[in-house]
Amino acid sequence: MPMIIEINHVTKTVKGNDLLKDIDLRITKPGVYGVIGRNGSGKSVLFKTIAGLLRPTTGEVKVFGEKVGNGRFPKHFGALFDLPGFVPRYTAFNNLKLLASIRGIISTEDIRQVISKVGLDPDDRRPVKKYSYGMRQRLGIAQAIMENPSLLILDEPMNGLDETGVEEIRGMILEFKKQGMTVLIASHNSEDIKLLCDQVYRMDQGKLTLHQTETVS
Amino acid sequence: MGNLLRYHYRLLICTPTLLVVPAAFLLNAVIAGISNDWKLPYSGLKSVAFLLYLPTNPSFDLVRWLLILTPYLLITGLYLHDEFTGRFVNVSIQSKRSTLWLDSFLIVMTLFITVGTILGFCINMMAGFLINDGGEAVWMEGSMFEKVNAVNLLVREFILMNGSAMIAVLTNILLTLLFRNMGVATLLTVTSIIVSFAVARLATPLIPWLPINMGLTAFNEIQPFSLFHGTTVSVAMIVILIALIRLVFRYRLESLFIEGLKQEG
Ligand SMILES: Nc1ncnc2c1ncn2[C@@H]1O[C@H](COP(=O)(O)OP(=O)(O)OP(=O)(O)O)[C@@H](O)[C@H]1O
Ligand SMILES: [Mg+2]
Repeated sequence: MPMIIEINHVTKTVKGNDLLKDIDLRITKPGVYGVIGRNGSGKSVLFKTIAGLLRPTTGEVKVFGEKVGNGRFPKHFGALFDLPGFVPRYTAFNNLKLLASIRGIISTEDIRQVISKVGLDPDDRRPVKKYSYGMRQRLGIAQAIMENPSLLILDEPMNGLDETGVEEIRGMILEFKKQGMTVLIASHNSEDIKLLCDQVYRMDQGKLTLHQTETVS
Repeated sequence: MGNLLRYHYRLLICTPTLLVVPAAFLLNAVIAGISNDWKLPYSGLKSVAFLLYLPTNPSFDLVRWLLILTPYLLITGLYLHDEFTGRFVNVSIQSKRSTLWLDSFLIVMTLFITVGTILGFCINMMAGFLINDGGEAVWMEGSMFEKVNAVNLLVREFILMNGSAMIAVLTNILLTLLFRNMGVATLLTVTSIIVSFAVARLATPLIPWLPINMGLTAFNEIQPFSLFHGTTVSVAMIVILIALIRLVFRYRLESLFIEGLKQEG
């Protein structure tokens, strides 16, 4: 069985600061994996490295057996990072349509569905610049999941969401788990972590350790 | 690659952006009209060529030249700014290779400049035919402009102006990547146009070697060079700039992903 994520001795040093320290991680089974840790501990740096946005200073990251970084990104992959960028003058639907056109593997009907799924209206004529923070976050999640990736990275997906939003996204993540998707999630909400994750890692000043293991059906 | 070309095409080449470049050409024609009391000294195609024959009035025509180049700079600069302040991360992940994003951007940008210039020349053509003739061309007596036929002049103006616009925009992109700041990059690009203009006036033998101002075809009156020479120098400059942009892009990639561009202000 091919490894989903394989991180070998990865360090990341920026301007003399060790942001990641000798990280080793192997994820072989689909499921939901949580990463917790204090502000500035390196969770986002780790996720961006897995996403291929950051190049490790030493070591290597492989996703589905292929090396990422240096302008190469994982296949079958979707991600949400802090500031999802959209074309402000476009509607939600047109934004996703534009992004989906790059790979061209989903239909406009799929796009409409995913927008409804995150609790937005696919027929909303308002441009995204008129959206609230939480609505943009929802659209960011839609963007990450629209092509049904095998690996999904969610960096604090509940940011700015209202209570129903949080419930909906939790439900969605559990559904993805059932479908056999692998989800990496960073969160400061212990509830999220407890409810969703099969395995939890702790990030502490750039070092990654296993936090606890529990099985959630 | 095809899909990324379409992505850039949809965002960059749309009606509002396509109107700005011809609008500048129109403004340039109006300025030429006003400063000739709405009586151009030539008729037909020659008057069309006359409107873009710069600089005929050494200091003021720098303003007209900047007027023509600035829309190209602003539109491509703002586009790049929008991409790097957010979208770029999503688009790169979608496209799997960042260099594809860059290469397709450069192709679509070239298309944008060429289409913009063609539209600008159409506007200029109309203006040239609409504005009255019969003015006097005192300073033009015995000039190259009078000796060369109108079609040759227009071809020369089109090719070299397009080249200058390309070089200005590529310079702007290179500087944007280097400084990760659109405002600073545009300011430096405009400065380099002005400096190059000043050098051309002060050291005339250098005129054939200042590609960013090749489109100032009236400099040919002072220091003649062939269209072939002008094209070769421009193309060489374009090739060098593209190579540098690709290099700096790879070097800057990580900080573009993480921090995007610095905000102005
Ligand atoms: N581009 C960068 N250049 C230099 N240092 C950076 C950069 N990005 C992040 N850092 C530093 O890396 C460390 C880890 O940051 P990171 O964003 O990964 O933290 P985090 O665990 O995600 O925190 P939070 O819970 O606040 O999201 C911080 O000390 C931060 O200052
Ligand atoms: Mg973070």
